[in-house]
Amino acid sequence: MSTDDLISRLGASTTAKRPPRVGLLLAAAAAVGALAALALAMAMWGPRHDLPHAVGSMHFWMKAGYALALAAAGLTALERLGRPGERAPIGMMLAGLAVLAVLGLAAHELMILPRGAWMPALKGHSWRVCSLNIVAISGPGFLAAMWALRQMAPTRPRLAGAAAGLMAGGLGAAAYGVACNETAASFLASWYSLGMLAWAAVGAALGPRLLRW
Amino acid sequence: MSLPLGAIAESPWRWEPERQNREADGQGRGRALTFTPCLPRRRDLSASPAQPRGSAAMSHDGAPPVSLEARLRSLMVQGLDGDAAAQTELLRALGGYLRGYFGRRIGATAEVEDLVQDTLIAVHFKRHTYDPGRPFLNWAYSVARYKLMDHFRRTGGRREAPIETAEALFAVDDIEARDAGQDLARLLATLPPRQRSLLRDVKITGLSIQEAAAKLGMSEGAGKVSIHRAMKAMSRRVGRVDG
Repeated sequence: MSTDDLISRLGASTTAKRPPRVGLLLAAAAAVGALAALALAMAMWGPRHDLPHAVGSMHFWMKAGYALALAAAGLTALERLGRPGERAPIGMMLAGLAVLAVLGLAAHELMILPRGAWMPALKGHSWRVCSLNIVAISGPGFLAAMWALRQMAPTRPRLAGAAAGLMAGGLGAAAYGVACNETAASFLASWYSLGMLAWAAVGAALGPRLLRW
Repeated sequence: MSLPLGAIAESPWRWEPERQNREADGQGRGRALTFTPCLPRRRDLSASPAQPRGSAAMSHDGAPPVSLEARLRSLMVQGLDGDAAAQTELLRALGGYLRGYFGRRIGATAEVEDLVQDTLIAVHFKRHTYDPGRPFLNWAYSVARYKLMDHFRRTGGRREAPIETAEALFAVDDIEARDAGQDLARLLATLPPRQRSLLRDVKITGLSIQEAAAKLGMSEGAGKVSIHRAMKAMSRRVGRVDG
């Protein structure tokens, strides 16, 4: 087909693309990720037994805040990185600040604990499974975010894949926090982080292959 | 490879022998011509646009010039609202820039046209990823560069396209270059055969006036006069009286 013919055909097929599709796609992906992770967490472990009491505690909101901040960072970055030529300075800054804040809290906690209590705090009672559980319930969110990205046009597929993983991992970790009764900041800073970053790493590894357009 | 051009220096065009014979128009005038236009407006993206054909009258009315960014962005936004005519005009305008951009980077004509079409398809079907609050030229350039890198990856050649700014895409509009080539061919056709031959030999092929005149059995002086007359005649035809 000649380029002139192609242009005529493409032009004639023009339909309105409003309201903005990118926002709708990402909202759908985030909703799928959050609901699926919450449903899976409730089905597999149920809410933590002390949930009504925990909701009033600092550590509960520290966990939720950290996980949701990383999810928001991933979402913000996706909204930029799904568009040709865009970077994601705000999303990256937000993610960096969240990690720094939790590392600071963990350092502060370790400083006021005696040395002998460090490892028990860090390991809690579920350190072997925490990261894996987060990874497990974040899967649907990751697929949804990658699907949304494929409807867009990322020109930095590695970063975009990482952002998709970060959003899914953040939502998964937030949902997992409803089921998990660990309280230590050092536990959060290590095992929660590991679970969330695992999907970001997978996204970065798969992005260049899965996000071609 | 531009030649010293004497009288033609006052013309807005710099003439260059073409590298690829893509513009051959089959009108039996031997090798086809392309121009590299050297009007300053072509490289100045912010100040004044390359006017689309048909809307040039607007600028003659003294309306303020619209930047290329503003013109293409407005077409893009209209396209997003479902305006098929605006979308077609946008794709046509981008096609010219894309042909020039890819042509300067990979050279081979058939692949250039494939890349142009791939990119236009991407521009069309990924247009919802354009954020109207952001520069359009950068969006379009990023799509083109992505397609170029994709091409390099598939052909296993050079792995990276250099990171440039949007000006790299919008530096030369091949639609206008093609139009200019046709304009020149038409102008040359109005000259008497001997003047046409002289002008082509001297200004395009690059012979000296003496050599070109000798081919026609003329003296160098007669050749000079003849070329001068040809330039004057052409200048009059494009509306300039000061030759």
